[in-house]
Amino acid sequence: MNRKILLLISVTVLLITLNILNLYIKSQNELKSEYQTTVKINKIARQITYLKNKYSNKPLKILKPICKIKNTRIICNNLSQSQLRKINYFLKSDIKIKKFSLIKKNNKFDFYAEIIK
Amino acid sequence: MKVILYTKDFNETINEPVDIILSPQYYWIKKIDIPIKSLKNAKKIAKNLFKLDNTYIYDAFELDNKFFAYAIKKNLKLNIDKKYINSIRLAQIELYKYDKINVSKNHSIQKIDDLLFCFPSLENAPHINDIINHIELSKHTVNLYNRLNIDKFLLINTGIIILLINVFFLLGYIQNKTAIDKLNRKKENILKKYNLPTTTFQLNSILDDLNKENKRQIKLRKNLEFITNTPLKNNEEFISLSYDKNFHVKIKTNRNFDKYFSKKFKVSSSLKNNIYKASLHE
Repeated sequence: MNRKILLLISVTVLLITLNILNLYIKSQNELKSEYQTTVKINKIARQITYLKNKYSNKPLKILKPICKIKNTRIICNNLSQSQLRKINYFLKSDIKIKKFSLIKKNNKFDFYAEIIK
Repeated sequence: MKVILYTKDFNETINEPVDIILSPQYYWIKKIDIPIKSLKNAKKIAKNLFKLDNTYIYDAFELDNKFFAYAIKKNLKLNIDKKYINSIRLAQIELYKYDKINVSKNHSIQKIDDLLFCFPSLENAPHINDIINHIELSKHTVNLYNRLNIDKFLLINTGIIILLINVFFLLGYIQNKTAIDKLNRKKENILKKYNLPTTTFQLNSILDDLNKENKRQIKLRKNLEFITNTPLKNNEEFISLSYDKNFHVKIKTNRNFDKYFSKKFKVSSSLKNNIYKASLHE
């Protein structure tokens, strides 16, 4: 067998094998990285969705009969003790409150709040 | 390039590249008489035509529509430096068209039944020196020194193993690429489904903002619960309670609530006219 030809073929085969091996290792690392990214994105997406859905503006409905609601502002004047329970429920509910104040005047209550939509 | 006929009598000093024609003294030759269709088949049976050991190289060639097999020593030593050997050839091929040639004072080459052999020199024969420079060399050369003695079975098996390794890695590569494409599609679908931006940086930023706001809301409720649980007596009551980053309370009382509120807040307070005022900082 011709030594030079065999050597040339061996080197070529070795280079091809190394190249394929390199491609395989690269793709393996890429797959690992892509898998981790996908898992991470999936987790973040679920967390974002959970946090977005956790807070809603539904509790505003309970205040509609007793308060004036304009965009993010809520103003309620001359509230009785029983109506105050609704304010209490509103403050405990899952709505994003930016600020609020509750003042007692002559056994009646004034409530003001700003929410984040 | 210079062409020389290498015989047992050769005693020239060579210091330039040469094409060597080996005299029949250096090889065994046989005409293949059995019907053979191709040179490939002739090469296959060449070894079986000689009763020689493994120290020989066996090969075959076609000449004038006839097949010939030859055997030549693997470790044939020529009195010429290898670096000056351009090619090694057989007299059988290169001198085939001559019936008789004197090659030295004592020897001649003669063709008998298509085979060239060495004989004592002749009177009526041309001398090799007169014709050697006019010989048109054939393409067939003997590969004596650039030869590897490797078992073909081992070579084929090694080749198959390397091929299998390559196929394995290639299939793995294709499989990985397919899996990566699938993951990319899955990622796109997730982002599309939740209507989210494409980069992880943007996603992290959104998540950070939401987490921060969530913590603030949870804290606000806990603090509100703490404040509304202030231990008031029957004649004491909250006059006002407000929140805007910090809590502010007004309580109708003649007591100071700093001790209670300071469990959770930094308190700045005053107690005047039975009104306790306090700003509660985190």
